[in-house]
Amino acid sequence: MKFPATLTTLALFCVAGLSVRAQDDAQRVMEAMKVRMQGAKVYDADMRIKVDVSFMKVPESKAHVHFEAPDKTTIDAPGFAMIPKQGADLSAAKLLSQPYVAVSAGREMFQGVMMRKITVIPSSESSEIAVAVVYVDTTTMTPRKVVSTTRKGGTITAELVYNDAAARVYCLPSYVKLRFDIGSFQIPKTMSGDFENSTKEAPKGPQQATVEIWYSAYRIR
Amino acid sequence: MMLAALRVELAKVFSKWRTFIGFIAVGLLIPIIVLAMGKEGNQYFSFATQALSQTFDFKGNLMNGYTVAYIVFGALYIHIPFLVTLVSGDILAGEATSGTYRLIFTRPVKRSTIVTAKYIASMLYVNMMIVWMAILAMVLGVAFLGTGEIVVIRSQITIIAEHDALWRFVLAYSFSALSMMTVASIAFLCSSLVENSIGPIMTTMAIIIVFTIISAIDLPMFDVIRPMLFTNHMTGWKLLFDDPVPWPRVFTSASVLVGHMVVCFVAAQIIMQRKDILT
Amino acid sequence: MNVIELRGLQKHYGTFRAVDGLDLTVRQGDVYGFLGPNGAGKSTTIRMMMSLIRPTSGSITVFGESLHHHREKILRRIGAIVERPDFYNYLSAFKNLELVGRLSGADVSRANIMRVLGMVSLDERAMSKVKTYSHGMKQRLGIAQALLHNPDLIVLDEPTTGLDPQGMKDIRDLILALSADHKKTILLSSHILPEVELTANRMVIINKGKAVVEGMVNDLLNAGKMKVTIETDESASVRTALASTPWVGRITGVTEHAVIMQLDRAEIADVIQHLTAASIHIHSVVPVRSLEDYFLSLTSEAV
Repeated sequence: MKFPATLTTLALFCVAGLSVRAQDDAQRVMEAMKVRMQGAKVYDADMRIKVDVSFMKVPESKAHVHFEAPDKTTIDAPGFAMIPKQGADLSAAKLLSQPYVAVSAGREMFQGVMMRKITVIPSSESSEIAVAVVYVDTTTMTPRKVVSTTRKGGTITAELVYNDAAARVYCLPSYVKLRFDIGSFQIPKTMSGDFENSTKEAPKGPQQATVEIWYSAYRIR
Repeated sequence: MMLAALRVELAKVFSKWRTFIGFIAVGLLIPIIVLAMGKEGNQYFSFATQALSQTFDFKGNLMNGYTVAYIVFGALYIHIPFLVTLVSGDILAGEATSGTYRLIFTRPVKRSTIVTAKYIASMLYVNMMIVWMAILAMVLGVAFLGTGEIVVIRSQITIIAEHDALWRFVLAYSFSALSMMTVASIAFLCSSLVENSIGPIMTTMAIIIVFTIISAIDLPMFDVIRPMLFTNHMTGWKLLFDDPVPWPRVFTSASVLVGHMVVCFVAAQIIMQRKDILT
Repeated sequence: MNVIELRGLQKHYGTFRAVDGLDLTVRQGDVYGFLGPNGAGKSTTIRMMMSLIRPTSGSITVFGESLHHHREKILRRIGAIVERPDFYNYLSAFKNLELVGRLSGADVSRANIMRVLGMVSLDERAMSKVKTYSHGMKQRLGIAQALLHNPDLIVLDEPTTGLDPQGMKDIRDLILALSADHKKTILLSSHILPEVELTANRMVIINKGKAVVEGMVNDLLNAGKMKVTIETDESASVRTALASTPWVGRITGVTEHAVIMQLDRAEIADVIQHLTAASIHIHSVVPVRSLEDYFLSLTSEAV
């Protein structure tokens, strides 16, 4: 029968068309966010960093971030600070600063809000990120969660909050919570010289770190 | 009369060259350690945190005076007991060796007063040694390397904020003074039992070594006695660099050490009261 | 007033009795000789008096008070050398005296310390470390530390050991001056018996932890047999003259010009009379009771 074949072809064209349309739409969303992000040519912000690693006790530290377009990010600290190498420089912006392909991945509830899920695949071979899933709050057009898989096989999850209305315009968050793998860790016994049996054992196997960063006092130009 | 007796004992202690061995040794060692850590200390820290350096950037002056003071303290802590016993082990037995028990115990002063004065002199020496070590480590460390966070590497890495460091050092050095006074008390007791000063020195060091080994060997049969060993509690100063500080454990360890001191002092008093001076 | 009273003093080391029921009395102003052979218990007794050793039983009363109950009060009034004087060798003589003086509540001013060192002729070496001192100098320093706090009772255990003859004389003169001029009571233990004989007015001889004899030196030396030297040019005739008498057995020595005999004081006159009757010319008769002789006679008997 010709009818099923026609219908199938038509359906395929519709799906393809829809897919193309969906991809176009996802790409548009990401591009729109990218434009907003690029609107902040230069900005400074104060950072408060809290690191949670199972085998470490680290005090909260203060730092300062300075950004100059297109991709120069400097983070300084007056004293001690542990700055995560990935994610502290506002991962979504860095992700979108290189060529990428965005594909719609549906919708999902996150923190009580229905988010648009968009898979972003960097086109550049030099990108550290292999693929990222961005949860976009379409009401504010801001990325609320980014799950990035690195080329080395690790996963970085970033949850973003935007309480500063002025900064939100440029998709600059007031709070980021990062979770990522840090591999196995062991402190050599001879280094610690610690023969106390009552202290807890160092954790074995791959470990995870959670880093919370509060951004404040944005100065955006 | 106690003040007069104490003054006499301190004059004797600080007239002997062996008293200054400890001060000189610490005075030579600490600058060497501070200089060495200053030059190559960052490697020390990098070695411990190499797994983290791939995911974190460490900002700040980590190999600073406070961290070095902590490291120096931990390194010297093992050896200070020997320096302590040099004086405490000699303070009674040395009188027997030199025959001067006859000189002091024929004075119109209670024996208990003289023994107490000797004990206090011994404890003052210990505290002066610890203060010297503390001042030297902190002053030299900060002068050469500045201040910063303390990096404490044990079974976990603890980074103590700079503003949170000084009170911990004060308490840690106070605790270590308590630990060393316990060692001195044991040497003092041994000194009351014999008539030459080498015996108490070697005996006290042997006790410390044996108890430390028992504390370190993780066998169930030692679990019962381990909490009673003073060596198990001497390292309580490290707890003051935990976050949060386990205060109940600190107080327990301090109490055990004070208990040892009291027992040793009382025992030495009883021995000296009953002792016939035959030398 | 009795300065020292020992009653029934005992010190046992296991089954060995170092002091075995010792009684003695030292009166105020005495220079009291405390004698005995080696191992008699002298040092043990002195150590008990100075509260270095605890008695097994018995009582020690000094200045009328029990040593057990008033130790510090009593020791404040005693200065002593107990056996060999030992000091802090790494300190100077001056510093040693300053330190022990503080414990005794003495005047530790420079002037007083130098005065006492001057008494024992050590003032010029006051600042030298004791380790550079000879034995004699340490002995003198020992006496100095015993005198520093101006005690009422001075206990001297072998004070002249190691001193040269001049040093011995100096110490002897010092002891006599302390007794006569400063009214000190002195307990003097010594093996140098002539020294005791020249300085002591009362004495005790102990053996095996017990007092063998106690009393005035002169009375003790004059009692019993004494050595009598009869100086004569007819020594050979003396033996002949005494041959038929019981005194012939008392002849202990004959020289060309003297005959030595052991006689009781009461017998001397009779012997002289007998020899004179035998027409023997006698130049002199010298009765001598040496302390050494007396000491040996008592302690060897006791053995």
